[in-house]
Amino acid sequence: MLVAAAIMATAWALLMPPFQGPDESEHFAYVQHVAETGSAPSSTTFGGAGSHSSEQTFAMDALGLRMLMASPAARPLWNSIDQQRWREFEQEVTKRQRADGEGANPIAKNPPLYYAYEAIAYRAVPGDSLYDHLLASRFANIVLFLVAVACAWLAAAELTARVWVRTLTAAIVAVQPQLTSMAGIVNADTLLVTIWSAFTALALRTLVRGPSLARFAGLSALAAGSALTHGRGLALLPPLVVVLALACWRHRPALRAALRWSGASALVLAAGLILFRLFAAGGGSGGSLYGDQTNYIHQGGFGVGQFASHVWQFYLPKLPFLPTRVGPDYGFRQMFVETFFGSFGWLEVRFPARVYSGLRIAALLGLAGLLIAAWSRRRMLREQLHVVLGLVAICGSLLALLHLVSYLALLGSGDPLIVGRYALPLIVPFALAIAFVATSLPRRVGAYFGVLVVTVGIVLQLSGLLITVERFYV
Amino acid sequence: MSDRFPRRTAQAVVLCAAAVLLLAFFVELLPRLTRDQRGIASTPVPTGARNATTLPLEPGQRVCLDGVVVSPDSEVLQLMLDPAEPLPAPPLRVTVNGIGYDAAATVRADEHTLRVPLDPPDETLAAAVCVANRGRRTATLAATADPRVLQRTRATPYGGYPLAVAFQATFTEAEPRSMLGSLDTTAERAATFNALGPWALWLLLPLLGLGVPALLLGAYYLALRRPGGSDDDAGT
Repeated sequence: MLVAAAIMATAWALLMPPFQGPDESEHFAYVQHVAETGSAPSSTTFGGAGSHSSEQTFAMDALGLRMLMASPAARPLWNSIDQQRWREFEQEVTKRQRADGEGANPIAKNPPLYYAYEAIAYRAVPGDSLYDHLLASRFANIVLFLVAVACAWLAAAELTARVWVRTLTAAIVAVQPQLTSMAGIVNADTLLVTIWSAFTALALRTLVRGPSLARFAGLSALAAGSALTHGRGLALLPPLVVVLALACWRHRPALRAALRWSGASALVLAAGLILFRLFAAGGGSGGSLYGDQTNYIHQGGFGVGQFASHVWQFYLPKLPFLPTRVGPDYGFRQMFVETFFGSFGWLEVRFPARVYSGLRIAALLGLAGLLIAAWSRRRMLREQLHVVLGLVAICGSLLALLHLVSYLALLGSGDPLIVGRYALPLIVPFALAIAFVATSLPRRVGAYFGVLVVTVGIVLQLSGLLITVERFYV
Repeated sequence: MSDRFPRRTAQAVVLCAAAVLLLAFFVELLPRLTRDQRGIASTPVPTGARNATTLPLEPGQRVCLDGVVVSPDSEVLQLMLDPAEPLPAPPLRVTVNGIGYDAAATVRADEHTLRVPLDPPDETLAAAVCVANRGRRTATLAATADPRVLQRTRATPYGGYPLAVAFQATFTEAEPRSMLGSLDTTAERAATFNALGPWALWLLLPLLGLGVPALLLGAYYLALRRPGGSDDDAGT
């Protein structure tokens, strides 16, 4: 399973031209600056060569990679003259020209955890070329993806001893085309997926087997890691509290032990907070981390009723008494179908519309199947209520943050600021839900259903790679 | 009850998946692989770029794009007229000049997409692509003011200074080809932008087409055959 996942992610890493993943140019610029200087670039102050190093800027302009971004009719400059010009530049490029991407880099609002990790891979490659460094960074990202696949297996293993169900859960994560494509580029979203997947697995272990010092500390470390990765990672803090509380409620540990574990948990979080403060104060973030996820807190015009109406209309048709929603007509289909299952590159590489229509029907049928399965197995779910609530807290927290930020963003601009890949940290609960439906069907039918889901994933994966190759190289 | 599936059931499940994969290959992937399309050789100023604008050409006026790379597969130059341009458009003289290379054609557009066949050079070279209006009324070219494009090339009127726009120009191959028929070209192009080279892409091809399905379905088969757990498991 992991070998198959690695092959698919490697294909994305090798076939996607440099900087053509969402915001990859800025993420790589951040990695390069950390690797070359040991410090983060500024998100607010202009310095050096700007948001990208001189080396990266030359590559983006001389090889047509900037012109290529989100421009479907454009092709990169693969001709021998431009490539020769690039090679000559690379032979002469200095360390300073790799290190001068001082900012302002909008991505530098992100905390440094992911970029510090990627910088290790960047530094580890023997070659000095930009392509070497970029590929090493992309490969390091693939490792994170493989960990997420393994975590899916571990999460399922907490809920069932049936090997085929664990395999199905991990396979669903491995073949999710949007996730695999993100694994093949440089983007902090993948670390967020990995951390959330590990958190889900450990949360299930804690809820099923009971709390312990290591589990409490581990969950807290993952929540802190999430917050040190991306603004969206803050959404893991509420589920942390819920999971710890549910574990104590269910397993009734001795008060003293519970207090000791909670203290350790708080210490781990405090360590994360200290790291956060150190970076925010001394780093290049201009003292303001996260950007989009926290800037909008100060957005005026918030109304609870309007927000509720906004969320309702995101998923369901407008009711006569509801006010007109804020922003464009953007909702379930765009987020949970089109950009969740596969919009590649800078979102301009897309499956044909009929594929999205089919996926939408499948998603709605799957949702209906989940509800029916939950109803038919309600007694078992009631017995495992703490597990269900833990998973609901994990999913609900991220979706609530995404909708809140999106709503606040729309109050000040026309950009809904919400795409399907932002929901990828929920990939393990998503896979568990499909596995739950599969195991709720008659035994044989469930096995067929499971393999059908995986097969559709393989087809989408290969189709996605094909349309990507067609878009960039034909 | 043990959750181990009988061998026949497990085989049937995997065979069913293989059949679905085969069907999807013939219905979805193969038509895309074998569909003929005119391959793009280069996009000096791509169509559909941001900051769309127009570039009017007065009768007798000529405008050029400098530093455009032309390669042996640049067999057709595709220009775009402003969609509001009345048709037929005035005749346009298109020339492509580089060191030791000249190509020219005069065309009269009946469509807004103008395809100009040219004799391509034997070797890749830098050239100037010029369009002159040979008609009696203004012809309006589709253009862009996208700074990402202007950073490389700009439209320059004859005897004038570079403008802050560039007219759209794309070189394509003359004969449509399928992706399957041009795999080597595609692999070479893709390999240009990664550190490993074409061999890695050729290796990926069988791994993706056969290895990934075999590994995943194989894993599923083995999992179905593995004893472990029962239908009464909690959770999933």
